[in-house]
Amino acid sequence: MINIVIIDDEPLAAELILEYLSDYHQTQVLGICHNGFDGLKAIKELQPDLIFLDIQMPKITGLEMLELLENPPAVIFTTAYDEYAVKAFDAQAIDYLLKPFSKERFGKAIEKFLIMGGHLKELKKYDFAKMEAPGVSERIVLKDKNAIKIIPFSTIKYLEANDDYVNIYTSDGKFLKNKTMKFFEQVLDHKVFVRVHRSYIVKITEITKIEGYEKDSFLLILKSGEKIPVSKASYPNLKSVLGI
Amino acid sequence: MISSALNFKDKTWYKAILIIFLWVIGLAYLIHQFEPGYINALIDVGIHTFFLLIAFFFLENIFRFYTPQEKHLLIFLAFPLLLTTFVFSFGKFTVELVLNQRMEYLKFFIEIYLLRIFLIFLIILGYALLLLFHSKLESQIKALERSDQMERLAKEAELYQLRQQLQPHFLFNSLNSISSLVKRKPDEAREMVLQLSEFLRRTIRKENNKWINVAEELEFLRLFIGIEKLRFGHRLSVDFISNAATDKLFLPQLMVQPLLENAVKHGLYGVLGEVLINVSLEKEDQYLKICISNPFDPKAGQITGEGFGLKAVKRRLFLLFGRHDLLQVKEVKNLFIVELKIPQNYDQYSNH
Repeated sequence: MINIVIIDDEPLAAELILEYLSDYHQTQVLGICHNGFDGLKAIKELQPDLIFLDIQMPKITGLEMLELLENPPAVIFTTAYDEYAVKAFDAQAIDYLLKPFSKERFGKAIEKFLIMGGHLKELKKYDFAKMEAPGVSERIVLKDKNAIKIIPFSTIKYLEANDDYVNIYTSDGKFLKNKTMKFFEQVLDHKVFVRVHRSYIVKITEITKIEGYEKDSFLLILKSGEKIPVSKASYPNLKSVLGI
Repeated sequence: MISSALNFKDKTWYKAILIIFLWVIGLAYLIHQFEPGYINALIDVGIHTFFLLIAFFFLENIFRFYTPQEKHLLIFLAFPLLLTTFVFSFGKFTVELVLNQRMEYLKFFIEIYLLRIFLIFLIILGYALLLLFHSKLESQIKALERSDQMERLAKEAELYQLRQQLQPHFLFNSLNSISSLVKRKPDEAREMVLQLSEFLRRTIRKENNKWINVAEELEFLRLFIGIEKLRFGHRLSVDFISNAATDKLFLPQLMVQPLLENAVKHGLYGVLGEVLINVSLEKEDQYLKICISNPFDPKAGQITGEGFGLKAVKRRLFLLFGRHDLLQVKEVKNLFIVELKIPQNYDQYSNH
């Protein structure tokens, strides 16, 4: 039996999937959710094999929801947006259904799951940390203890590399996200943020002072008092960004 | 210019006659100062003026087909020189023929022939310069008119485009809803098809340069909300507040709908749970003021692309009224409020 959860904020859209699924007797729908938060909860509690996931949903998008899962199930995206298509395949979705979709097209997606799905569980772990899709959103969603936190880029003061994670320092405190520095360097606006070190990206307006530190090396002093090292390689770029 | 002056349909020809008359009298008087005898002087001036006018006529027709460039100074000078020779020779010949009995005048005539040639040349050259200046001015005016027209066309095209910006996902999601209803609830599916058709028909109306009144616009907005409610069910509710005074006011078509669509989207995707949208219309001085508010979460970052509706409306307002201050956006606690003002004393048809 294939256990399924449907996550779509439009009831009629979810009902359509339910209707199409009624022809597949080996499937069973465990739950229908209308936003990403309920979706997270349902996935955790019901452990489905497959989810149908809308992208544009209240508060957090389907993609942002997936990022928060450690062991996400197989995903078939259902959405009217095709600008997300490439991104969704990056997220290693089974398939991608563009609304409105036919029963035949839906059937193909199910077939694809039946072929790929079994292997997926053993072989592939979603690697969202390496997912690179710059430019689409201006915020990052993460899990802080047990709460879900949405962090607009505008509140970020600086970022610090931490192994496979990045420490995000905001006006609300420090958060941990499983993304690379490279990812952030790509998505953050270069007019607002500057990379000053292999391990640091700083918001330009947070910088108050640059201090000499031994010879050839410098320290940034931020408004909040933190000291950030500047690497030799990135010093020229920093200088040009600050116009000095 | 001679040809246009001689165009009898215009009333300019009598001005030309007057100028020629004054010219002949004045010149004859001047000659009379040196060689007494009005009749002789008048005949002399008359004959030369006649040939000058012929020269002008030639010059004008030459320049109509060939306007010398500034760098071709020699060619430009060649025409007046040629025509000077013509005017002087024919003038001399005719004067000698007519005044052959008046030896004293002919003697005076020969005495100042160099001065004559020079004067005739100056007059023709002056006319040539005038023609050149005139043709340049004309082409400049034409170029200006053309660029004016181009600008207007571009503006119209842009306005058309901005009006046509239908959010495609609204359409696709609505079609998906219909697809969902069609088997289980065929009557509701048909109802939605009809609503969607009516909505689309209104958005692609041909005469959409025309303004419509508030009552008609509200009807259209309710149609749109009806479709959105079918999609999102109980989560969405919209309150319209208007009064008898506003119902008779006018506004450009498809101006409020993108704002309302924006509010619905922001509301539905910005918060969990129920979403109440308020649309209020009132008359304020010479304006129709429309406020649309939706709940939002100020702490969540914006998803890019959501501002498009606002931008398009701002641009349209600028193209229509040349003003940037007619659309204001503010955030009050958890409400996102858009305030639109439509000037009522504006001539609705002057733009097109």
